[in-house]
Amino acid sequence: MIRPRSLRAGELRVLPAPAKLVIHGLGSCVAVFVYDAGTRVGGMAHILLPGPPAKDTDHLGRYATTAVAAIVEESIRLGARREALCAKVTGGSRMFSVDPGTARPTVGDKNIEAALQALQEARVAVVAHDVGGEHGRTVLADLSDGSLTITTVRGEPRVV
Amino acid sequence: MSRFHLLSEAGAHNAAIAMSQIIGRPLRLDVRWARTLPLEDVADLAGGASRVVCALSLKVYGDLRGHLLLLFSREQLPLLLDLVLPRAGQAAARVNGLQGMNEMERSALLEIGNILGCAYLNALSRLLGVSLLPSIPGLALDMVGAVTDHLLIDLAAVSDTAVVLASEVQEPASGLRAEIFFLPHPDSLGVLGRTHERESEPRVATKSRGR
Repeated sequence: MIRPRSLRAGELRVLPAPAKLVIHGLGSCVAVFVYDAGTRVGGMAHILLPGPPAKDTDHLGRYATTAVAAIVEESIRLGARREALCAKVTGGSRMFSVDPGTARPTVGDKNIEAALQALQEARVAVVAHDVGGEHGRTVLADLSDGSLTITTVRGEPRVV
Repeated sequence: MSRFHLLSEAGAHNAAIAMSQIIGRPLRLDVRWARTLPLEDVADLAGGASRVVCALSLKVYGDLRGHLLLLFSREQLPLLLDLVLPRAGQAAARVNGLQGMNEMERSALLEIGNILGCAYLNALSRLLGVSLLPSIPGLALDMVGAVTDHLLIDLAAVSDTAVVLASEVQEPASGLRAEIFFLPHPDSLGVLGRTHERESEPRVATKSRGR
């Protein structure tokens, strides 16, 4: 039984199989899981914001742009092939609908958009996503088979 | 951090008075802590990121910006609803998700958020001599990690740490607990700093010790 490594807000980690990575209680933040099914190497980030304010290089996992670049780079360093990398994206909920301007994009929306954009720029195909809504998610990435299991406080876990 | 303790205690004291008037029972105030934490530790502050809670979240505007978060355990939700809506009776026992709640129950919870939030902020406002304007509360029944994400996102843009003022009020007979967290925005810490001088004024200090 592999004990999953927990990623807290702003953290990212890249590992080979059979490791597991988990994010407990993802709300408006976004999780990006990048994986090469051939070499079974990949990583996940618990992203808070679309992009760094200035040249903040200390917190790669905190921003969508730097997190995607760092996961791709580190995966390749651990043996993954760039052309084989694919991604799964989840999170970006609106947990509290207190903002009066409900029509404008929420921080969750902006995070999702930035993550997708960064993946596109890195030429990593997004093969699955489960984003938005008004509920939290616990996200378990399994490096042994590339599955992403999403659990909410209601309903059955969903595997993407 | 002693001025933060003072503020935390004053806020929670006021919230406890309001809460005890709503449920008609005396409440005990239990000040836990006020400290500066790395951002990634914030989700651990209320029993871990996966703990399921009923959360009421208020944004605070005005001279001191920040977020106020009120948490009740999911297990205590039926108890809370029973105390504030005595006629809800068994209806409350079935509540295990927001969908399971009727309009009356939801609005009772929002009202608790309003009242406790305003009571807490009024005390801070009085001590600091600044105006604090709370938003209407948002309600969620979800994991602690999910309900604290928006706080981290707000703070992460400007800071690596969070100042957290935490307190807890408890109704001893039933064990009902409300956990209160106030996270001032880093840009507003200067306003909090001003209490430092006030703290040394005997009038204010004596008053707070009396609580």
